[in-house]
Amino acid sequence: MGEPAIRTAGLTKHFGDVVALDNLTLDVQQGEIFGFLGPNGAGKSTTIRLLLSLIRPTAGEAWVMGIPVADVAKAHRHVTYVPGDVALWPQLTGTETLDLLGNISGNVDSPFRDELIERLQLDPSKRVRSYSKGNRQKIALVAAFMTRPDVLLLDEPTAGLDPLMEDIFQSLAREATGRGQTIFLSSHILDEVEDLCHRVAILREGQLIEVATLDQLQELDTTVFDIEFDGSPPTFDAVAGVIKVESNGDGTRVTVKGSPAPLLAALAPLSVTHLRTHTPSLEEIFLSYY
Amino acid sequence: MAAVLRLFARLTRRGIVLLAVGVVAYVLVEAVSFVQTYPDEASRMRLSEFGDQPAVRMLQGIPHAVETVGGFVVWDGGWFLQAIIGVWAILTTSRLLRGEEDSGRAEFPLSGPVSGLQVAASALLTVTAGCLVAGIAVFVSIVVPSEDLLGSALFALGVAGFGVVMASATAVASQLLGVRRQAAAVGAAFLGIAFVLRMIANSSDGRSWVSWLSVFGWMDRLRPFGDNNVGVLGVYLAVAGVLLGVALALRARRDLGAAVLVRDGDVRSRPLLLKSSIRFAWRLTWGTLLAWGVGIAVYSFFIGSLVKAMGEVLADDPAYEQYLDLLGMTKEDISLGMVAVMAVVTGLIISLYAAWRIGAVRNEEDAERAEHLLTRPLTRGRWLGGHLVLAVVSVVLLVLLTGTATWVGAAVTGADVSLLDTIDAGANLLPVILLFGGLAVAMFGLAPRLTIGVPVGAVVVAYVLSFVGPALDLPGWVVGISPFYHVALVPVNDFALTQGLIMIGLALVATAVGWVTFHRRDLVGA
Repeated sequence: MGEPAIRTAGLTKHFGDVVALDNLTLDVQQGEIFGFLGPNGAGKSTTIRLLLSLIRPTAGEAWVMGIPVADVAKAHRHVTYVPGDVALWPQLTGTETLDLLGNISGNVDSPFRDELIERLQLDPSKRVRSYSKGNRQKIALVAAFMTRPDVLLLDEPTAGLDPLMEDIFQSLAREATGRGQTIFLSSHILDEVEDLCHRVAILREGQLIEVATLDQLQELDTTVFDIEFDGSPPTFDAVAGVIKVESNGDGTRVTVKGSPAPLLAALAPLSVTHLRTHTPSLEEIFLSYY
Repeated sequence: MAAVLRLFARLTRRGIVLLAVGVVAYVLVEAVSFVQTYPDEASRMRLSEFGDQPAVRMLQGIPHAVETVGGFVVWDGGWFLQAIIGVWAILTTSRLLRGEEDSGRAEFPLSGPVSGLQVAASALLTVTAGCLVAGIAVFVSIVVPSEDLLGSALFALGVAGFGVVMASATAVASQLLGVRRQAAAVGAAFLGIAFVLRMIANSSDGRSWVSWLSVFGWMDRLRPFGDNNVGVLGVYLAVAGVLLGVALALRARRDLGAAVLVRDGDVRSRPLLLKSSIRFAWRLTWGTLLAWGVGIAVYSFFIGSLVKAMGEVLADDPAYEQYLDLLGMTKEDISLGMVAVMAVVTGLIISLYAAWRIGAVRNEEDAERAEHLLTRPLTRGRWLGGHLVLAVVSVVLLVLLTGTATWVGAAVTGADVSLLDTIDAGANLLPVILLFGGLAVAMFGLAPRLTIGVPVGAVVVAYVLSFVGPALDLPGWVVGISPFYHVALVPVNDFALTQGLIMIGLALVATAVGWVTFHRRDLVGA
């Protein structure tokens, strides 16, 4: 597949005593939509800001399209960025903002920009100060896509969008990767990641704890059991492999990691009225890591 | 509501402390300069002769009780003190009442169990408290040298009252207009009109009734340390009360973010100065630069037009002659000497501008707007470099402007001062301005949150030190810390080349430190 779109080697960032990102080594291939998951404070934004050289690494290195990220003048020809909370110049209009950002980027595909404005239903003739959060986000999305960059670094880019716009964002993302562009998507909207991403990485307290394709993750050894009993449900705390037990309407939902044999053995003497198993959704996988 | 008050107190306390420190420093400088310049009864009595000079009367005011230290400070510095507190009140009121809504932050307190009216009332209480703190600072610093309780109290209340009236006028504007800058501009215009009305009132005795129409003029009616007309305080109270009532009534009637005079909807885009980061920096700054320019030009014109009148009064004052001797000047130098001394004050103001200009760069970073530029193929060096070019060019423009405006003022009143003299006097301060600007750049790299605070504090301390230090017989090396101490009185004396070069060298070093540390550090937002 050639040069990875994004490569990090031992990337580490400390803020004082706090380890925001610890020894991250990762390759993202060109043409991929790569999901970056984790709760608040896990280090998602820190990683993206390191990739943009907005903050300097404590240790380690990173490359975008083979260019060291510190070489901003070169690396940023290949990258655009959408932050989660878009702060713009309130006195400019949407059009002026896009002109400015386009002039500094260079290489704006003007017809495509107009198409993006149309599809995202953005009215660029208003002043930014009168825009809602969602509209400011649309400006940033148009600005990020309109230069057709090789890599898009998106940090929770749809937090302020309604479901209709979320759909349009997803098709824009798919079209972009269809043309060979790469999308690095930090998100905690799991449906979005599940629908969109080829591979995901899961981050916890600055540590990378999993990188896998969605298919791999779902086969990854976790099984969910929905069980109903005749009588009151027993406790499963002592059963090997059980990582979570929750009461679920009439029954009990038990999540098992690894072999289900101990759970089945524990169930055998009980009067089970219903038993259903399924592979977990991304949300369930995600929660199983924390 | 107590929580909202605490929040506003937190947001404003640093400004209030700076304001109070500045007020104390200013009053002390005034008092010390009075004692130094007019050491005996005879010289003090002559001060009232300024009342016969039309230019002085109009611009500075009619002297009352100027033979006392308190009366002198009211006459010589009272209007400037009021203007400082007025400007603080205008900026703070428009920020709390409109700026917080502009930025959407106001939604936070309002989601709690408080109404918009209560938030507005809390903001006005906070600003009023700030004005009273400034008033207390005036009282404390003037009561010691004047030993006059009633006069000091009236002066302090008049100054605080001026601030409260400015705040309440701005409060009304903040309800009418939907943008903070516009509300602040209306407040500033109100202050400017009050100043012009006072000039008209003082232009002749027959027109003195006009002073009732000017907030500045009420101090001339109050006459602290002289007639002590306590009743005039009622005017401040009544006008502020009415304006505050109107502002709160308007607030109760509108929605959050809305304004009585709305101007929303589509606006025409102007694709001006958007081609590069440095051109865009000009677009962001020219409005503010214009405002500083107008303020500095008006002030310089005012100083220039006083030169001749001051010179005539002082020329036959034997005590002043001794003072001139001390400075190494002769009587013939009086006009030029005044130009030189006043250029130091405008140099101080432009130093504050330089610190503010670098602070605006920090503000772009702090508000996370700089990220949109720096995540594009734009290096930090080009971004910061553009802003530094802009800062230097605008400082040079302001220096040329103050020189020109001083000369125009002097020429209109027929003073014997050439354009070259006034430009030289302004340019004389350039090394000092660049030094403080460089300090701001250094702080921007080293400790970005202190980008404005440290250089502004340094400017004020340095100025006070250069003035008060010699009077208090502080050792030479202490006073020598102040760049102002090393400034020669151009155009009377020659430019101090060595000192100037050293200051420019230090400015370059400080800028380099800021440049390097900015490149090494993380961008830090709010």
